[in-house]
Amino acid sequence: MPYKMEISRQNKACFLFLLDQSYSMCEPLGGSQHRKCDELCNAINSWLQNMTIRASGDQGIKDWMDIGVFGYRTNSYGQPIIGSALQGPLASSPIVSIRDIGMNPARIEQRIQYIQDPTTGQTFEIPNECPVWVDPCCEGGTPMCNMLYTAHQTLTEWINQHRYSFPPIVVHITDGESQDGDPRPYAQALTRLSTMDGNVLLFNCHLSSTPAPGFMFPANPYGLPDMLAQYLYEMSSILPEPFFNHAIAEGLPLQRGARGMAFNADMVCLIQFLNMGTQAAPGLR
Amino acid sequence: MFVFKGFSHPKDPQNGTNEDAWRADDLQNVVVVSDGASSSLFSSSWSNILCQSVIENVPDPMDHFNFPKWLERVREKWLNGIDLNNLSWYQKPKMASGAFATLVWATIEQSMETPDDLDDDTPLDTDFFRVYGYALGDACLMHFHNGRLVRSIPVVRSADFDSTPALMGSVNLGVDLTASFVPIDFVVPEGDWIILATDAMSQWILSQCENGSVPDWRSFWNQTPEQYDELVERIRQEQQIRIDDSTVVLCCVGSDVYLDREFNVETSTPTIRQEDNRFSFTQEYKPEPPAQPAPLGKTVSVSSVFLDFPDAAPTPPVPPRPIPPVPQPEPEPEPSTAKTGFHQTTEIPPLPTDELGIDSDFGIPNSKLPNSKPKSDSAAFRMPSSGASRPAAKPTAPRPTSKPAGSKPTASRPASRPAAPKRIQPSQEQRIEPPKPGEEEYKVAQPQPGSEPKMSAYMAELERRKVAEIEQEEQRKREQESKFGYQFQKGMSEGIKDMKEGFSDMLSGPVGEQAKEAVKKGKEKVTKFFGRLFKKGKENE
Repeated sequence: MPYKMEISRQNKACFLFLLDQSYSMCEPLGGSQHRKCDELCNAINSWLQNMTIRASGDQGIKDWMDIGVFGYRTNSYGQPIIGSALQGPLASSPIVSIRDIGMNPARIEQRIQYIQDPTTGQTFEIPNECPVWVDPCCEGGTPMCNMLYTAHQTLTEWINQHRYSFPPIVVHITDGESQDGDPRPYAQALTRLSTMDGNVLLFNCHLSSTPAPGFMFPANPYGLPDMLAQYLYEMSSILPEPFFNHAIAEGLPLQRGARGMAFNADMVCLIQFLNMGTQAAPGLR
Repeated sequence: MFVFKGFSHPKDPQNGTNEDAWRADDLQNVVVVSDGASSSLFSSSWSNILCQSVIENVPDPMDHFNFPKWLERVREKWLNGIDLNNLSWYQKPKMASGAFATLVWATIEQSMETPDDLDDDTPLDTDFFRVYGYALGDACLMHFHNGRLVRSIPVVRSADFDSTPALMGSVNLGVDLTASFVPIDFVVPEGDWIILATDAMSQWILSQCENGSVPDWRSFWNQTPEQYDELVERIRQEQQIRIDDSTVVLCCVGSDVYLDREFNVETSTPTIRQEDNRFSFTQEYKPEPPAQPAPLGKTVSVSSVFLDFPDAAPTPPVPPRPIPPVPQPEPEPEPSTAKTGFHQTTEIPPLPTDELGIDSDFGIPNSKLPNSKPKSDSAAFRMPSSGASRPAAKPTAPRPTSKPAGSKPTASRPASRPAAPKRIQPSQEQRIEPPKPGEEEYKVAQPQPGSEPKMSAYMAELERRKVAEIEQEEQRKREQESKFGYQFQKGMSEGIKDMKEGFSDMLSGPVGEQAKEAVKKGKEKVTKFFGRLFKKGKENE
């Protein structure tokens, strides 16, 4: 049965984030005061931090997953710029291990965390170390096809080295349409890649500019608001059983055949989508 | 009380970190296994400290006064081993919640109790042992008897393992764990296997049992740590077991004599516990000659059951007391009735009383009393041994003094009983009457084979006795009838008979009908009265 391989040091997992860095990401996220690119970077940095903490043990960080964070945009000439969105020492590495992630953040920011004592109601200020790997960026267009093509190449190489691993999970976050063609064939090519444990999973998240109600994990294309949503639906993988069960256990009302897709997502929805899409793999719970 | 042997294989052999821990101590008679949660920080040290603390002072989670103090001391010990100043940014957030581990421990002690489900063919001299302790989380204690799984605590089936077991935390998060402890308490006969294992191994063992292929623990015992590593790696590749730290501790319970014979441990070294590179708790038990120290995550084991140690652990080791040679028990008539006969599968017919050789009032046959055991001190209670002084009360048949050669057998008993079989059938016991001293008639009646005149005289004598008996009976009746009581009784019975006849004539008339009606009404009244009385009495109750 696919998608059952337990994630371990021998059979590492792979998470690939494809971040839209087009100019439209400068707009505020629906229901938030902050820009979409800022919120997205916060979400990704938090995810990386949590994963690093989760992987940490007595002897440092357990090397049980590889992570790639790609950004895509175009320059002023319309040429696609595809590359790692990681900053600092890891900027030139397309895929890095979680151990490298933990050891090499671009910087560690000191932030104040406010915690309220539930019994007394008193609020405490606790200094918190927040590592940063990804900085916000918004420029040019949305070369989605180029991005998917690069992801295909990267994962082909990774899969050749990890034939028995849990299949890579690709999380694509965008706020607009592809500007370099129909992305669906590229997405299909990407999801045709497979390890012995199943095909590559592609989850798509659309960020909202307006506070319109969003939705997640639709089971059928009926009622999708526009062509962009239709495209994203077709590009997205059907949630495998472990993911489906995990979402059900988390209280999400899913139907069989639900796809890994979110539309008009706000910040809460984005974090929930990230967790659902990445924490259901065996060994990460 | 038990011999033990432990195996542990880390999740990642290259990395070498093993968050499982186990300890066993045959002085305290305690065995403990713990599985540190990979997701928590310093869980390896936490599981090790937990195991060591259980060995040093076996806790009682139901003791609401002392258990929190015990736990606080263990937590303090864990925290003292951590350099908080050198923690990385990714370690600091985890320190708030601390480390987590599952835990299972058991104390194994000799018991006077017997198991509820004791086999019928259990030898009389079997020793029994009480296994008691607690389990928290999904580290399991399994009991195997006669090659089958009897019980598994706390997880019963392989499908019941989930990813969220109850855990003991190294930081007090205000969680009351009392309800999460599952008590262990049962009695086993010697020779049974008590297996403690962490979750991955427990799940594999249970799935093996569910598939009908119960592990042969004796073979498991005999394997080397390297063979265990190979086994775990192989079943990991076959996806029979989850990739996780895999630890199993085998304990075979039994008396010293039993374990000595079965495991040949008289030359073994003193108890060695698992050692950890960073937490060397067991240095005080350095054996002589020194045992091979096991690398981290490898198996260290083995066992000793007889050796006495001084009470204070840190004192230098004292050379083990020489063990007197233990005499081997007498061989049983059949292989299936050997000392391991508790596991026998063939049915043994019940031995006749003669063969059991019951010598004492306790009903324990001498042949089954192990002379070497301490409990065989009960030999002081023994009656004189069998043989010449066997009691005369044993039912024996009167034997003719001689039997003529060539004479044909008669209906009476043969001249001499064959030596075997000695079994006395109940029918025989009823048939054979022991001679009563002084009974001349019996002697006279004793027929001699082949003598016809004596036979006719015998018949005549029988006839004479019969007539005499009849005459005696008549004389007795006459004497009885002449007594006053008999006369009175006879007169009364005749009078009652006459009265009955008279009443019968009267009741058949019209007066009789009125009388019957009155009696009937009176009877109803009485019935009602007693009914009310009964009801009232019930209410008062």
